[in-house]
Amino acid sequence: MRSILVVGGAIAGIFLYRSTVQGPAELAVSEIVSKLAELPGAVRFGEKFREELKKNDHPMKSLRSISSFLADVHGDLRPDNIGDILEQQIQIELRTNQVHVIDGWYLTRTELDLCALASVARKA
Amino acid sequence: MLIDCRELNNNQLISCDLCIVGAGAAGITVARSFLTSGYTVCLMESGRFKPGRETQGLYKGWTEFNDEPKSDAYLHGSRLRYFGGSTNHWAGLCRILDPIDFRKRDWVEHSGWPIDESDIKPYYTKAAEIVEIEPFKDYDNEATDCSDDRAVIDSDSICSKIFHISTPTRFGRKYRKELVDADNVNVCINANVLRISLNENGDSVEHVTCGTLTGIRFNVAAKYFILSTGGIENARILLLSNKIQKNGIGNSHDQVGRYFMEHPQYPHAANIVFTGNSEKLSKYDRSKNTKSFAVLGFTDQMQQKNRLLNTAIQIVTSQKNSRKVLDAGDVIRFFDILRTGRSSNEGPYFAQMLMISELNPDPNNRVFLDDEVDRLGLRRARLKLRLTKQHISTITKSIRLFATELAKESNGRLRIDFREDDPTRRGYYFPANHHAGTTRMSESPKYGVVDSDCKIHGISNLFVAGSSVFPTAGFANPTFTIVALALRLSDHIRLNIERGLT
Repeated sequence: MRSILVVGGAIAGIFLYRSTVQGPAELAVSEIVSKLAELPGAVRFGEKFREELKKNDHPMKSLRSISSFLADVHGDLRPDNIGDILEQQIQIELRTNQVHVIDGWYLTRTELDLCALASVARKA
Repeated sequence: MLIDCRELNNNQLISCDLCIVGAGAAGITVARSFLTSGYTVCLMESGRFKPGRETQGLYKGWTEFNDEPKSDAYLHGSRLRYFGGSTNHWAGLCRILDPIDFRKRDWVEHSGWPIDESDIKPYYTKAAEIVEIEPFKDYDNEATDCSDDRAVIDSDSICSKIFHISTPTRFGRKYRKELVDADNVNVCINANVLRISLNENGDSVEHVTCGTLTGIRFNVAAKYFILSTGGIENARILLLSNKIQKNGIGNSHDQVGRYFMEHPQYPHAANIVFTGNSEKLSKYDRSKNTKSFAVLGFTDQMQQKNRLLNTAIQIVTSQKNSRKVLDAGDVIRFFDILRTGRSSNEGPYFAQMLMISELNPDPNNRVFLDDEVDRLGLRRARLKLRLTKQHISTITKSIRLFATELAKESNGRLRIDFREDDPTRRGYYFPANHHAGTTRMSESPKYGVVDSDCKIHGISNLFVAGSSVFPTAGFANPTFTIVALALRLSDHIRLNIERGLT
């Protein structure tokens, strides 16, 4: 009985750990990031944006912080609805002027956060 | 009848009812308005029917532009001094001024015409015939056409504005025979107006004194005189005519020559990537349209809210793009497909953004008289021009606003190439050669040179035709409005003649 409980607890722990690290929200965002990492333009934007963040002493957003932010603002984030959620978030950022000029291009904060992750993923 | 003034006798006097100085778009339009009227007209042209180096040389003069070294290229190269005037090299683009261009705008100092668009509207149909464009279908919508079939961006802030394309009509070539064959019109070539002579009271014109490059001097007396020599020369001739009014005719308040305006153009203000419907883009591509094309502009509300001058954005589809631009296009398309589910076969489409903006009236931008003289012994024109801070900030703000609207409404993005610290760098700036404002309309002589009938304040029989009377110039090419105003002026003068008013 005790061994069943131990094994069951370990499995639950692993499940909990994995869902914390690789929940549906993070999975959704990481899929986007890996596709972006294949685009030289995205990698270039990401590198430049990271330089700008560093210059202003702002930390780069992690995969977890982006996905939890989007989920907090827009609700349940999954691979099948991330497109809609990104659209809503980008429209908010355009309306509230959360726009950066990188290499002359006007891009929103979230687009650049994703490109920044893509540039790191590419390097790895 | 054709008169070559080199064949006149020295000190000869020619008399007529109406003397028109300058045979460009405005002068020819007025002259044609009096064909078969029974009134005699003298149409005075400095040049002949083809360009001539010596006559063209009379246009030389120095320009001080921004902080650049002075140059003589602009005054000489931006105008043509022969029959037909600058219509001999205009591009043929026709557009009405927007209603907002006529209004007093509290964010644009010295703005506001003493007339509005309803005063000129009755003349648009005739003006359209003269410049050979299709008649407007709907005048009220011509200014701001937000119909869906035109809209690349369909928002409350931006809408499409239409340019019509003339052949372009070369006024000299098209209307020469008609004028020369008319019994009541004397087309006088090789006739340079040296000065306008006022009576002793200084309240009416007695005659104009003219001269040829061969040394002949003669006078033209008339009941009415119209000065239509262009935005720079109109001011110059008034300033030169200083025998009775010592500062020049109509210049008792130092307004003549001031408020010079141009239409600065920025051909590579930005790169644009579109991911939407490419068919709509073709309506904006001038090279794909023969009768009319659209540009984008900001609504009146947007201009007011952001304190913008009137600006147009022309989209020119570009075939050749750098690797960086293509890569950026891939990123933008990626996000677009993700956000909209649009097919991956659509776009992206690349374009350049050409910006044309109003230059706000600044009294320090001015035409005045140089100490150097020309071959006729007359002081040359000199121009001082500086791009105003408001104009430059309008360009920057407009690009940013457009970038936001583009992204919101059509998933496009842009890359700004315009540099606020170096707006006129080579290849990124050119002037449109639209000279305006130097004898501006005003209700009071304290703030302008002509009244709402284009009559010089305080002079009973001297009028000005052309864009020099514009208090503001919008972004539209001026020729169409010049022709419409010339028709309006013709009606006014005809009425005065019929009433026996002098």
